[in-house]
Amino acid sequence: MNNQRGQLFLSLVTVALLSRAQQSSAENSGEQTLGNKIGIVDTYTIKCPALTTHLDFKLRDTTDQSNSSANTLPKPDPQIINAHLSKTIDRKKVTFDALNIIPNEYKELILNGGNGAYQLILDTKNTNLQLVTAQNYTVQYRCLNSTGVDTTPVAGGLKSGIDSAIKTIKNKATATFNFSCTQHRTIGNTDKIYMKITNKLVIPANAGKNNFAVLSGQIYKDQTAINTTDLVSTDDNFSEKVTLNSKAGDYLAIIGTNATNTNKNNAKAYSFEYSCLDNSNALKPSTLLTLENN
Amino acid sequence: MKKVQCLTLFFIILLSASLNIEAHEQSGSLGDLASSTDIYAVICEEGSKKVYFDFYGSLPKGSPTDLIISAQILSGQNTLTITDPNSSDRLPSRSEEIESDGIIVLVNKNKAGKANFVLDYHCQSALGDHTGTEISQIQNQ
Repeated sequence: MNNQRGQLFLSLVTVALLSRAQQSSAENSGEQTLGNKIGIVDTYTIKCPALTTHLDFKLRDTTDQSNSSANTLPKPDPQIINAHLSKTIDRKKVTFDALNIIPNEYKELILNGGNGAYQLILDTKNTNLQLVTAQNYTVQYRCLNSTGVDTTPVAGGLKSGIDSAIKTIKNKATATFNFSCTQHRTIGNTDKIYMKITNKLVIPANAGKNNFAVLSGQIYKDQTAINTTDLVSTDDNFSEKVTLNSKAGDYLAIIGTNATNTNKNNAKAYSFEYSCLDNSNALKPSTLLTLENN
Repeated sequence: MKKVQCLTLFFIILLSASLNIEAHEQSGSLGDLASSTDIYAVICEEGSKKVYFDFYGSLPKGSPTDLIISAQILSGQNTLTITDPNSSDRLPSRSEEIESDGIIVLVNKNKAGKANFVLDYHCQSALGDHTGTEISQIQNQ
């Protein structure tokens, strides 16, 4: 008899534990996919029954990353600096351009302008505006005679023959430097000015991933909405769990990405977890309907 | 007297027409939380067919430079999303035209940090003429 009571007690405990486990576990959408066409979303209705007070929601990017590791991701167009060296000679402005100086590379400019004032203007025209890090660079200059010997340089804050301290230029900004080369009492007249512009930008290890989309979900009901994003697509973690307190009824779930191009790596596999909960956080059985499947 | 009334009517019509061809802009901001979402309802004059929509984002000092703003447009049974790929350049997102069937616009972002945005929108007829457009904010986070 005692044995029967013990078994009954164990059964009750098991049922209670099972019930508690069911109450606390969320429902899952199962594996879903979203194509790489710009602007598309998948939408779902989550039907929460009576006594629901709120909906919990989180999502996870489950895209297989094995074929899109850092080594195989296409690199984004780089950030660049352009250099324009000029001097007015016989009332005409003569310019020497060095374009598309990419990170970790340098370009040299030589302008045969003789003694006098030179101007260097740097800009970032045609840089990749999706990469917003300001670029670091250095400037080096020398005034030279016809055999390549240094004459007399004058430039505020810059020493001849060595790289300047690291300077910074933001996208769409310009930087202007003025130089003057004069006659050296023993070397003679200046024949040309030499410039070396080095792009010192260090490219972040994950720079290429800026081109790839992240998965977001929005929950909308009764003129209230909330948003969550899985920022790291390469791990097994869900996005932040968000809660919308909109009672029983139909919640609209919108799943999309922030893609602005059709790169094939922007196609996504994903799943989401959702829980219709009452005021004691007990799970209420819900129904999931697919509205749009893109 | 009749002449004055006629002139008044003429100016009202002109004013009405000029209002209809105005671009409509709505500025807004999102708070620090990654979940922050603003909601707007766009109401079109009867007879409108579509709503034109784009937006651009901007970042207050101290916000992450890789913060990206997106908007979801809900219209009838159709939903789409638009993203401004660079929140620092004040260039607009791509534009969309969507059926003017009870438009709801959600605006949100990919991560924590404050953000500002300007919505550009107008209702239009089947021929592309601008029609009466109103907007109402229904959630501000």
